[in-house]
Amino acid sequence: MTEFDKDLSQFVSIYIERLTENIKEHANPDMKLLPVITYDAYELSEELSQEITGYPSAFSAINGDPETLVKFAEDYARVGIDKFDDLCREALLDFLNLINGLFVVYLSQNNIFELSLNAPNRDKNSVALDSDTHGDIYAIPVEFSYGVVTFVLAEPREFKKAAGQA
Amino acid sequence: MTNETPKFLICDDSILARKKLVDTLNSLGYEDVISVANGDEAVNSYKTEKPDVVILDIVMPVKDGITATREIIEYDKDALIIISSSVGTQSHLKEVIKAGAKDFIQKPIDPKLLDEIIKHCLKK
Repeated sequence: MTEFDKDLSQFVSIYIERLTENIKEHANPDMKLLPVITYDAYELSEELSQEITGYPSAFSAINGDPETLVKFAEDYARVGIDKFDDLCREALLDFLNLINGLFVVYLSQNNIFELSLNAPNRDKNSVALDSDTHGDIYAIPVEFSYGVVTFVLAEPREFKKAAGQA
Repeated sequence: MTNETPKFLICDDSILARKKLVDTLNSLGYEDVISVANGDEAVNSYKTEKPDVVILDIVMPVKDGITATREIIEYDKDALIIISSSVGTQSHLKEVIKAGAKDFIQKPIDPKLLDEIIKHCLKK
């Protein structure tokens, strides 16, 4: 595991920038981005994920302890979510879909990339990510008064090589 | 139909998004709303319910919103379809219009803008 706050690819940098802006706007402005960490292997406690498709493709997910995720889901949805149930998972995936959509729109509007999204994935089993399969795995921890929600973005290495950043 | 009481069919795979959209439509005075969860259900419901306005998400399992739009337009070339999605990229917008949708609204939905789009579509 390597901690760093520089040398991120343009793709990852823009993702983090749009993510933080959209968390502030659509969920909770009282947040703090903690240092981004890159992993060779990372385990999601359960799958709440979405694939960004096209070139470059990427894997995105939300991870965290259930109590914190419940509070974050309610920050976003404001429908009385108070337990880690299907409605909570739905709200988290809805948020992931929203931020990924706004990210993809930002890239398109700025003529950077034309990407799309697959439907979000939900599975109560844990998921093991590894860099051989998923590329560079970035954990983007965001701190709130009630805990830390970790957004995960995996960027395929082929793209970084093509962009001369490997 | 009368323009005073249009019937809506909304389609989104997210329960939360459907709830928000129904609440938004209700707050705008549109009470007659049927909601379904994927493009397949939207095409079938269009044929049986004959709604005045359809609001479809793009990214959905089973059948996406663009495919559903094509199939609804194939069945009824005058169908009023509005696409509501978080993925409003240039290429998606082109696809949406080519498929036959009348308009597009970016998520998160601005109720005022949605109302303007609905009224504009119903006037056509």
